[in-house]
Amino acid sequence: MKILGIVGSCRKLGNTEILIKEALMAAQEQGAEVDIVRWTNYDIFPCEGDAVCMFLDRDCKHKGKDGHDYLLNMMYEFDGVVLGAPCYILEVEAVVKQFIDRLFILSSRPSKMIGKPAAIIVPYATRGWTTYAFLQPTIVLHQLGMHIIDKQLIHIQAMSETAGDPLAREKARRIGKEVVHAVRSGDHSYKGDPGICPVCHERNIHIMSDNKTVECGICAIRGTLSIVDGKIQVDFPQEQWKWHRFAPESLYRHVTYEIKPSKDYFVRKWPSLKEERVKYKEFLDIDRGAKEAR
Amino acid sequence: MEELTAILRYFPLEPVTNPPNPITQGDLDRVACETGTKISLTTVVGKSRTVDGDVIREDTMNSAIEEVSQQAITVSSPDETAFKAAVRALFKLYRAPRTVFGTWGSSPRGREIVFRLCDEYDGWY
Repeated sequence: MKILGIVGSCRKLGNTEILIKEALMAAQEQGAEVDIVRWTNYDIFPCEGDAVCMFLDRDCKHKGKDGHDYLLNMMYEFDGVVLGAPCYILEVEAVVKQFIDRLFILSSRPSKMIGKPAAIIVPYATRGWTTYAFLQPTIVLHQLGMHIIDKQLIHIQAMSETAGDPLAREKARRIGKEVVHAVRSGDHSYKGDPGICPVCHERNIHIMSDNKTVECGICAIRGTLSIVDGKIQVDFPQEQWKWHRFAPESLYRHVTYEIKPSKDYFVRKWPSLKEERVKYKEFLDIDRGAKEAR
Repeated sequence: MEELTAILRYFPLEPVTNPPNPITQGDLDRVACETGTKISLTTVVGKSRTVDGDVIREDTMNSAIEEVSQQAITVSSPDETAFKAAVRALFKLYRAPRTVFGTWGSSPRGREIVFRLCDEYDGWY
């Protein structure tokens, strides 16, 4: 059994690295083979959104020029993952979002992480600045089809402070043991704060414009909000749970019916767009500064 | 007056984003009657579509939009107020189509009205 620790932080021996290593130490003690990678050591170029990887069934144009393909294939060698990234301004470090955007490649080359367990560790400095801390880590793991079994926020600030914080280290160790147990037993039940959404366990609920319907912004399942005994309650119909946005069949239908037919749409629109876009090409040179800088 | 036409294309997405109510001729007839518009339904089954329980498979990469599995509702009226009322009623029943090509085949003004109405409801409510 192999467990991979992913560090989405630039800081050498910072709290994220220490926490992930602590989780991996605990996993190793449970008999797992472990390894670690720092995503920020690699360039991850922005997705250019032309979707040639899907429409033309080509490799991404950045393959071999940056680290995304390498990092993705590295994950595929493992049975479970512990992902850590620090929360800065409400969200984790941007490398996680960069990785997510390039996962469009999964529309033509399906994920090999489907059904494998994962857990998330997010160290942060200031209470009240973590509203979306789990957002990107949850999306990236769900996009890969993984089962998230726990998420932990860890309150810590000074450089390497976790090294001397038994509570923080214990939380990380528990995560490491849980992932090993999940791989070994096949029990992927969620161990963290149950949250509001029964699928992703987040608390970020989007209120629709009718001011009646609520939706989990991550999973897209819809429910109704009520106040019971003075407490907010959101009921999501159980039949929706397995059809959340990132379920493999949901993603398949999204790609099949909402993205692939756009090829025909683009082909039919192109003759008129080719002429209509000329005036925008001629108005201001957006790349001038970059050319001068080079 | 210009005849306004909208084609609202609903593809077989998962139940969470699919129309919350099945599209029925009875409901379409009722909306047409209440709003004084013409509404018709076309059901398309893609040539390569297979269904096995919850699992649908279809090769749509090189298909024309009209040939992909879908239910397409066509609404038309020369009266803009009636046309808007019908589209709003259909959105309430089935939500709005989710993609830009989900209105392919609409008249230019019909499409514009549909897009403005979509914006009333978070884009695709």
